[in-house]
Amino acid sequence: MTLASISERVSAGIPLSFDDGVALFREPDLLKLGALANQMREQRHGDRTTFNRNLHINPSNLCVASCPLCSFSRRNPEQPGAYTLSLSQVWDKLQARLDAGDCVTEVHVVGGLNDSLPFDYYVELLAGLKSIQPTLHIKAFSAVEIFHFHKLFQLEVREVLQRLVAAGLGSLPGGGAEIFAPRVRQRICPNKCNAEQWLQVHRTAHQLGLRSNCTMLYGTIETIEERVEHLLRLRTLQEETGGFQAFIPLTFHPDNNALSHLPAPTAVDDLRVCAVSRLVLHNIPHIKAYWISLGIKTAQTAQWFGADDLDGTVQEEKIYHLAGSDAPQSLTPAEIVHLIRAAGRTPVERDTLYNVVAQGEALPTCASPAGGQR
Amino acid sequence: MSSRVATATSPSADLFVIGRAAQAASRSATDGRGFFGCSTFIATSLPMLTEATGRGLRGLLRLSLTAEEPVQEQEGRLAQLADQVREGLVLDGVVPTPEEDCLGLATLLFVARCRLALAGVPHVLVDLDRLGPKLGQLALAFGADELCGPIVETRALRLGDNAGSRAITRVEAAQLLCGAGLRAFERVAGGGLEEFPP
Repeated sequence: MTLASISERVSAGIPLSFDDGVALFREPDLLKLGALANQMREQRHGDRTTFNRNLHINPSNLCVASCPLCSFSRRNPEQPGAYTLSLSQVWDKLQARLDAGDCVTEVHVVGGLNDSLPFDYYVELLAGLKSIQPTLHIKAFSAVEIFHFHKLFQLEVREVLQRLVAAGLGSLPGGGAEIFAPRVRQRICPNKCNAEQWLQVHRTAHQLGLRSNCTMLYGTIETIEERVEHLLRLRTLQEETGGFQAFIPLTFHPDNNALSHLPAPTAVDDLRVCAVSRLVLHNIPHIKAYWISLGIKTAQTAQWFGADDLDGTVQEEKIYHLAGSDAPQSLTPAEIVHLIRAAGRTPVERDTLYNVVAQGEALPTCASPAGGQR
Repeated sequence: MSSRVATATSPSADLFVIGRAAQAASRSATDGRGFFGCSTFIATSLPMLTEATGRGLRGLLRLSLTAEEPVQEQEGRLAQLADQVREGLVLDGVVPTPEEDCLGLATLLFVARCRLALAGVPHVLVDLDRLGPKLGQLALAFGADELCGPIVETRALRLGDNAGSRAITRVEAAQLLCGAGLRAFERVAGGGLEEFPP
């Protein structure tokens, strides 16, 4: 399997096979691989790179799953750092942003699998956010959380989603997919829902008309073959439903968790995963370089290795920072615009559903880039 | 700002063309080897470099990069340095060093320009303390061939106060080199090189 033969299939629009994916991961020439992924990226999106204005809220880090890969969760309320926000505290976070004049278009809500909160907490949380800003898009609760609600509250997944949609849910984030292979899942997140359950939640969401994102956490103990299998399972569901908007490769951060003995993935790994994802996931529109996870400099570079989106302004991120991310907590829209332009790309502000919000001279500018970038 | 940016990175093919040319030049110069060693003296000016080499130290020169410097000026000072090497300046390696305001792509392209412009200089080094291991390893795909900086024998787990440390172990340094497609060699006392088993 040569890169040249894979390139021919990419140019002809032929979906890549499992063997192609493995060969791409094993391709030693990172720049050749990047050029091929960039070709597909530019065919689809030209030189545009999108971003949005969002706010991350993590309502609670109490979690019954206690995954070895996680630095965020706490098992008991008595543990140092354990917290659960009141509804008022959640709503205040949004209100504070709006009061500061930020034009937030999306709130991203994910948290631990808390078994002491009632379902009404989540319903009211969404409804309250929506009442503060009715035009807000709420992207909330990973498939793992939705499945947890299903089990904890004895509701069908469809009903969980329908009730949350009625309260204001607009789409699902892509977290919790980790690596689908049971061998890996058993080691890094044994108490999360399994691959079939994760995929079924997204299938159901798509059937209800919701859009969602999908992810892959790489860099722990998975093999190249397990990465490719993961990507192909996402691609298969996308063929069925067409509901995924973006794929987000998530690099493992080893600080402060039970997998601290593992080395962090290298930047070559990061860009390789980004590029291979673009090439294998031909039917998923967007590849996101999540700067919180990758770091700003790698994320900026990823715009040439298949990525066409940089996520958003974020404001307050806990999950990756507790795992050792040294990216800043937030970027202003002007800083993101600068990052994109400095990479020779054209910035476009989008909403959650990838509708254009602003471009060209309507975008903010700044003279210097964000501080503390790594 | 936009014209400088456009000059630095456009057209799209440039990134890959420049990067691959620099990588090929580096692989050819080092025969596919990559090097690492613990922190060493790096001169920040030519007089300091001359004094260092006069005292028998390895001739390494730090080349700073600011976000504001136009590409033409970068290329101009690299060409001037290349002339000085041709005229006899003893220089074993340069260490491209971005200031805090430099972004990732600008740094990688500067590394590649160093490699391409300074054919008479044996090594382009990555300062892990300044670039970090992630961008540092990427620089190996853009013409760098050596890692320097905080490379330690053993490192505590990334917990508590040590979380976020940029120090890497000798094994990790070798892994970064091998992951970039290079054979890893460690600089040992007396100026020797030892291949680090993969």
